[in-house]
Amino acid sequence: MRLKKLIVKNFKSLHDCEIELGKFNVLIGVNASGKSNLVEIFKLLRKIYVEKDSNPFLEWWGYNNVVWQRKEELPITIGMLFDVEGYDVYFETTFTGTGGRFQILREILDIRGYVKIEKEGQWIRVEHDEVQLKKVLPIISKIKEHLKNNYIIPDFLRDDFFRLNIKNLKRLEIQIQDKENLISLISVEHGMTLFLKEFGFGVNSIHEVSPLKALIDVAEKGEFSRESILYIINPIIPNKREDLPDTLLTKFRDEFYFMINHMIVLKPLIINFIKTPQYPKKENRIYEDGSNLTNILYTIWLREGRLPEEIEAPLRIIFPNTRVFFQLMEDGRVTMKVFENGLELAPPSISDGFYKVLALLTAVYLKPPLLIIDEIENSLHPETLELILDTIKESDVQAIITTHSPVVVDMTEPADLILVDKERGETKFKRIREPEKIKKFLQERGLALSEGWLYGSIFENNESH
Amino acid sequence: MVQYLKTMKAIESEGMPVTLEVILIVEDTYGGEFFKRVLQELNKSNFLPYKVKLKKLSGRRNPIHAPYLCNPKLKKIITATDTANADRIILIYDGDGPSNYSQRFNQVKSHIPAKTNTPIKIVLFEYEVEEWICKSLDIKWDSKPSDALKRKVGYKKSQLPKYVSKVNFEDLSNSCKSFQEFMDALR
Repeated sequence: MRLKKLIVKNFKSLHDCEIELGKFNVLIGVNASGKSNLVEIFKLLRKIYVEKDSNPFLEWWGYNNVVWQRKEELPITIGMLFDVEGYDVYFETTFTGTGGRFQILREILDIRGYVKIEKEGQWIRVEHDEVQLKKVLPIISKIKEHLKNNYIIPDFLRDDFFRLNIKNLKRLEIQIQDKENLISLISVEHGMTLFLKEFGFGVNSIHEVSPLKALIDVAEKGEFSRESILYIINPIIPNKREDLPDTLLTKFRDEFYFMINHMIVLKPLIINFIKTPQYPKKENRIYEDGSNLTNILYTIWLREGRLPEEIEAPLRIIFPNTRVFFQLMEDGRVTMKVFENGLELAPPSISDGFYKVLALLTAVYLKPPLLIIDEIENSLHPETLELILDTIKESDVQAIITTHSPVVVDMTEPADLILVDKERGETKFKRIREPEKIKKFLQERGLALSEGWLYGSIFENNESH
Repeated sequence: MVQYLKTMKAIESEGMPVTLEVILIVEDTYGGEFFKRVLQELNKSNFLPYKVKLKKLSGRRNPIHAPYLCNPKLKKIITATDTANADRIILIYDGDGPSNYSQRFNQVKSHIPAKTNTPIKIVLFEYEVEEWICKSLDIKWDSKPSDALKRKVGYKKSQLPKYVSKVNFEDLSNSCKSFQEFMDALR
């Protein structure tokens, strides 16, 4: 799954903006243009959807500090367009923290060309695309005919299928009892999917009463709740288990949580934290200040018996004859030991750049679904930056990088650059509309890309280019 | 070329061991490390009658990471390296397949400044550097040697420098155009 577009409304200086994203994205702009605000969007999403923080704005000292122009009456909207196995899936969430109370106001999940699901308060609406319905309804009718004469099929599955009719699928809404977010309300209908899979469709559902609550009712009352269910027909995605394929919606749900939970955000590191021995703890996501780097590497080191080649090989290009070991100290803490030409280097003698390179290589090694690096150039020599950028580009990781460095800009293809600019206090994102034309334009004038950015107007997309 | 021969002859006439000092400009960091090790191996072998050394630069290591093609920064880099008094500057780029070869060659050539003191050579792979490894290991490829290596031996780009030990100079000097070009650039 890859993030293709991000739409943000009313978050800090991101009043109303959208940004197209590729595999490798380099954000450039003057100080306070809003680059770091974009990075913080992802932190906020994690707090809301993974940590389920009841006050996700606490880190910023309250909602008034994150909402556009401190206007607490405004809600914040984050929209994300994903590519999921070639399908466009759009998810949008609108929330508020006004009066110190966090609340998701509205969520939209739109599998473009198939089905749109909307949750507003406790109301959920599902609307299937008419063209797709025309394809799937005759199939469902055939299956119903088949089921009428087949008594091996359990009653509940037969009942489910008979509820699938044009009235129920075209547009339906129910009021749910749960206060969960939309994505976590989505259930899988394996039985119905098994019947529909050969036609390329599967079924998900949203229950008026949560499946768990329904089970408790069965245990307590001895009967199923007479609940309403919304059925969502959507494409199936082949997986390793041919007998039980995923639906697109199930795959999106799982990968959305995986992305938000496992993405890595790296801000300028606090090197002294990394140098300090830590109590060992199994960890697999680097904190944004890098403070748990020793634990992350120690976990990998214990598992692999050494530093993996993907980390060690590039590290040695920049720091030849350097080896990294880990030692469990008498007090139970673990410390990172660095040797150069066989001699141990005391932590105060180790350069900040060494730790930064180690953190960045480790982040790429962990293969996060999204890697976000704020001010990548800090502490790094240009040739070290080249190594890091080559490593990121060569990996499968989708990366968003912010920088002020002309070196980074000159290593970047014009198509991967995003200018972050402020117009009347609002952050705007601009890409070069015709990168090949700009390349030619710069070459004719003998200008490096960074020179065109710093002293020209290559993002204006005017005719002179 | 004339200046290079003059330098070499001058050194020879003084009866000192002959060393060719080169600056390599290579497309990526792992490629740079690969060529550094290739030169080390060549120096151990009898392929060249003299040692080849990477010229020490003041601000960074040599080989130099090339910017993307068509970035005028390449011309600036070549102009700056020309001041380092090396015996040779060698630009090494991917050819991306026979159909793109001549276009790529001309693109690289267009970045070479009109007047330089140092002889400048271009080495273009037919596809990419991994073709040396594939040919040495007798691995066939369709469009990208690196893809064939990934499929056959689980190759990763970070392993490229390590693969120098698999490169068979003898075979390549008979069968690989880009290797022959590289050797010519060093002669």
